[in-house]
Order: sequence, then C-alpha cells, then structure tokens
Amino acid sequence: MKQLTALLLLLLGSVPVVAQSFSAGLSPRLMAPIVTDATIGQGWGAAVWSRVELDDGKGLALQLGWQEIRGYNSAVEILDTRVLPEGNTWWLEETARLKRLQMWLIDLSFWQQAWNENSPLTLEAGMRYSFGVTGTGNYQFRNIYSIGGATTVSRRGLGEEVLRGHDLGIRIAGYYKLQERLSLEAEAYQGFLNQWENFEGFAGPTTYVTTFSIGLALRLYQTKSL
Amino acid sequence: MRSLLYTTSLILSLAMAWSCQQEPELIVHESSYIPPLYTQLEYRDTGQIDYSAQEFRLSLPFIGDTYNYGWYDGPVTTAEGPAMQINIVHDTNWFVTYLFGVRFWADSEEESLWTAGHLKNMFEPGRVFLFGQGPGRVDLSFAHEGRITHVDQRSRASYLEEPEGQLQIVSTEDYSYLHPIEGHIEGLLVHCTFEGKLGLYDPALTPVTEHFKTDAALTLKNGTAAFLVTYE
Repeated sequence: MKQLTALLLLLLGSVPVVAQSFSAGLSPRLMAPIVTDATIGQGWGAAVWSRVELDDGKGLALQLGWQEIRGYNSAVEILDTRVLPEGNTWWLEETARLKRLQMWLIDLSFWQQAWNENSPLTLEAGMRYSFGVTGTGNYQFRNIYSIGGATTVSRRGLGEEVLRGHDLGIRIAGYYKLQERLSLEAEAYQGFLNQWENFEGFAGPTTYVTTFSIGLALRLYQTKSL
Repeated sequence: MRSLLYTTSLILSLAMAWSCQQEPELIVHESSYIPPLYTQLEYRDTGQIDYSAQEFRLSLPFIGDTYNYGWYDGPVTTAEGPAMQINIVHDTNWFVTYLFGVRFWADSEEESLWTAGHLKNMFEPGRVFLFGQGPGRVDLSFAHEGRITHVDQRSRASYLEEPEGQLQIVSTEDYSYLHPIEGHIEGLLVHCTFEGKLGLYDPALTPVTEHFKTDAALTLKNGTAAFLVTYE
C-alpha cells in the first residue's frame, strides 16, 4: 500500500504548487453491475485515491484500483467449415462464454463540494481507463481435419483471443462525509467499448461495462498548503 | 393478516420470476466455403444413342449420400517429357478410385517449370490444347459408368490411334486457400471447355499391353471444368 501511495504522490507531482491541500486514502466497495439482459450481477473492488484541492472546495482526484464483476452470461459460437481442393475438410469450432470480468482501472476526475466548501457532500465526474481486463469463463477451440481424422482441442480461460483487454468510459460519484476521516461513497460508471473483440463478418455478442457501487472512503493521509 | 399473506406471496413470486430468467441467447455464427472446382460433361459409349451427363463437384463428405470427390494436382515425368497431372478421385480410407483426369505437357523450351509465370503463360486464355501426348498437348481420361472401380479403368484420349478433340482455356485467375497443415497454398484456377473422343478402356487388354491402342471411342461433348494447379 505504501508503494501505491508513493506512486500516486509521484503521479501528482505535476500538480502545480498552488494546490491548497492534498489527501489520500483507500476505498473498499461493493458493486452492482448491469450484466447480460439488464440483470444485476455482483462484484467488489478496491482503490487507492488521492485528491488535491486547487481552489476552495474543488479540485482533482486520481484513483488506481482493481475490480471484479460477476454475473455475465454472454456467449458466442463460431462454426466454420472449409472444403479444401484436395477434397479434405477442415471444421473449426470456437465457443466462448463470459462469466466474470476482472480489471485494473485508473480514474481522473474533477471534484467539487456541493453548495459550499463546508458541505458534507462532494460530487465527482471524470474519465476511467481500464486495463489488464481479463475474463473468467469457458473457451474452447476445436479443429477437426478429415485428413486422417485428426482432431485438436484446446480449452482454456478467456483470453486475448476473444476479449478486448481494455475499456474507456465515464464515471460520476458522490461522497458523503460521515466522520472526519470516513465518507460514504456511491459511484456510477458506463464503459464505451464492447468487451468482446470484434468478430469478422458477423455481429457477435456485446458486453459493455455498466456498474453502480457503494463503498467507504477512508482518508489515511492529509496535508494542507502544499 | 390476509394482506400480509398476499404481500409475502407477491414478493416470493417476483423473487422466483427474477431467479428463473432464461439464459441469454447464444450468438451462433456459421460459415462454410467450398472452392469452385468442378467438371461436367456429356458422354456417349459405343452403341449408345443418347448422351449421358456426368458431373464432379468438390463437396462436403459424410453429409447425406453426397459422393466426396477430391482434386489432386502434381507434376509427373513421362517418356514424352514433363507434364502436369490433375486427377479427380473418390478417396476412402481403403481405396482410391480414379474418375477423371487431364495431363498437360509443358512446352519443350520451358525451363522454370510450374512456377506462377510458367503456368500463367502455359494456360493463357484462348489457347487450345489438342488431345494427344507430348509438348503442347493434353491427354484426357475418364472412367464412365461400368468402369468405376478401385482399379484405374479410365478411357484415354491417347488410346486412340489418331487422337481427336481439344481443350480450350477460357479464363484463369489467381487462387489461394488456407490449408490447416501446409499453410497458405497458392495456385492458378483454370476454367476450360473440352470435347472430343477417348479410346475406350478394355479390361482384357489395357492392363497388359504397354502401348494399348483402340478404335473404339467414347465421345465427349459440352465439357466444362475449373481446376487448380498449385504454384511450385
């Protein structure tokens, strides 16, 4: 955790010295993702965050986190038959079913305290880039040759063959101050990229990351007048 | 109490309906590809009045009663010089049955045989190959009804004392496909027409006579074909 805090401090090194205050902490959260067919899935996440105040009651927030979303049930099956000029036949069967998504995320947001700088409510809006997106589910690639009846089958987890690996989207969040170092947070996120890779020649399944979450924001570090 | 029961039932029903959601639709994509290889012709045996039609088309094996035909091409060395042989066969795990074939002899002055340049030059659209053997000629072979066995019983243009007939190149195009073991295969797809006469295979004489010749002819007409010759 110290290393991550140090990394955030380093990332914020470019913030002008006009910043009035700096704070950093961590947030555990529970997620309610919208998964296939508008059903609600489950998930959890955690992030380290930092905020700088650039003017009274407003500033920038940076967040680095990890999350897992469960409940997807999206699937695709590709059947390809090729007859070769020698009269041999090659069947290709590829099936994939997505159950969970795991990803790293980095958020850059603008925050402002509602109404005035003494308000217990802080609102945030910004962009999120998710990376290292991996899926959990079933993936099978089967080749059948009529040449000697050879068959090769490979089964493994979902990987870069069918999943995109990154995401970009917008987020809005609200923080309500419960105590001096503890806030209740709520967040909504909408991803712009289909997490399935593009399939050539046909419309495959679509899975856009949409999440709602609630959590606690714990402030571990704070300094005034940077 | 009653309203509490109704409310509880309603909540339970909604919960059950929520948990009984159907699996999302599986997105299925099916595609298939069959190369445009075929041969079709009409033939007339000795003593036959009407012509019979015959067609060979590369097809999916093991589906219904469809006969699986394979196309094989490759260079051969003959007494008359280097040639390219294309055979249509029916291949099972036990037997290979030869059904149709064309053998083109390369022009005698050609040096870089069976390269893309050589094949495009050799199969120039409009060129006519006369039936027979030797440079610039084509020997056509065909196993008609009654000669389709696992022994090669094809009648051949070259079995006639005076070969009669011709094959004309209509058009050519570059063609490639992905072979799962050998990788990317490139060749020339040749479209042609043909007609003429073939010397009838004689089961009593042909296998034992080295230079078998006959006057009995199988007549072909309205022959068209598309075959592939892979580049060296």
